[in-house]
Amino acid sequence: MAIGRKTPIHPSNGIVIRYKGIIDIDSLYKNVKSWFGKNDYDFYEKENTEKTKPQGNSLIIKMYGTRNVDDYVQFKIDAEFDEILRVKRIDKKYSGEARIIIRAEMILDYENKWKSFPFLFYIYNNYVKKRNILKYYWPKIYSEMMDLNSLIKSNLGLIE
Amino acid sequence: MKIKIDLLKSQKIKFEGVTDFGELYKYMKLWFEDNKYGDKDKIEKSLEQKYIERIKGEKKQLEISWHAEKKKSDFFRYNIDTLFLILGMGDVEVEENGVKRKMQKAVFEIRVSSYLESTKAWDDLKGLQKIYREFIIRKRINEYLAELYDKSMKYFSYIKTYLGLRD
Repeated sequence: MAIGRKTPIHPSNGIVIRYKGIIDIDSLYKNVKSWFGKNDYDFYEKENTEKTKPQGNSLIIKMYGTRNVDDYVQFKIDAEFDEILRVKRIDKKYSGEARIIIRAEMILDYENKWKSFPFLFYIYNNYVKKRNILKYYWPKIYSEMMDLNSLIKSNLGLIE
Repeated sequence: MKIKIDLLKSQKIKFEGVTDFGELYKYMKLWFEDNKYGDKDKIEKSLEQKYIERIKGEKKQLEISWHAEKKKSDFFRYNIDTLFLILGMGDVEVEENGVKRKMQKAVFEIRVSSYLESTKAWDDLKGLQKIYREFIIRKRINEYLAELYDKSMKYFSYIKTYLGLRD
């Protein structure tokens, strides 16, 4: 496997969680947001959409966080409430159908200092630094991605 | 060399429903006033870069863009851009606590971007003076970025809260 500038850690379509039932969307949202904070990620919200519909609201919330691990490597984790359909309020919670996608990637040379030397950049990543990337950075971001996955699943009451 | 560092990149809020758009518009403008972006007396003129209104039957379509900036030091300024795209806006009457109010129903899309930018004074610096400044300024840039990030996320949250979205 050649290591490029952006190395995805997730499966090709991301980790997809589907759920239909009672969801405490407010607390799920807050927990995911604070997970990024606790893990030292700068938090961004790409999109927050809410459509009012008679059959129940539909929501899209796309969040991501970035963390500069050192001068060379940046971790980026996306948590997308890709669609939550037919959201209806039941007491303090909601009922609905959710599809949540988690993606994680490692961005090498995020400050683009190697921009002018693509060949050397390739050699550096795939020969000089490869061992370090695979033994240190890769497992670290993988375990963080899985930690977020567990958090979301436990919030939804799914088996971890 | 000019420095420009992006922070929020077109973060999107989309809300389909009923709100008092006039009031939202006013509150957003006040946020910039309260946070000292632009000259207080001129903020109305300096903020709005584009205002397009198209009438389609009984509905309106709006495209508005704002640019707000704040001088942070002689060398750097904060910038926050806001883009409104509003489709199918029409007036509706809503009863709130027994009082009838005219509000607007539409698809409201608001995009927020923010970036740190160097001023002309920085761009004009030359030679040794610039090297000296670069050593000092590197740390300071990180402080500026942290402050602008905090401010622009607060602005983003402020809009979401007004629209009743999760924050």
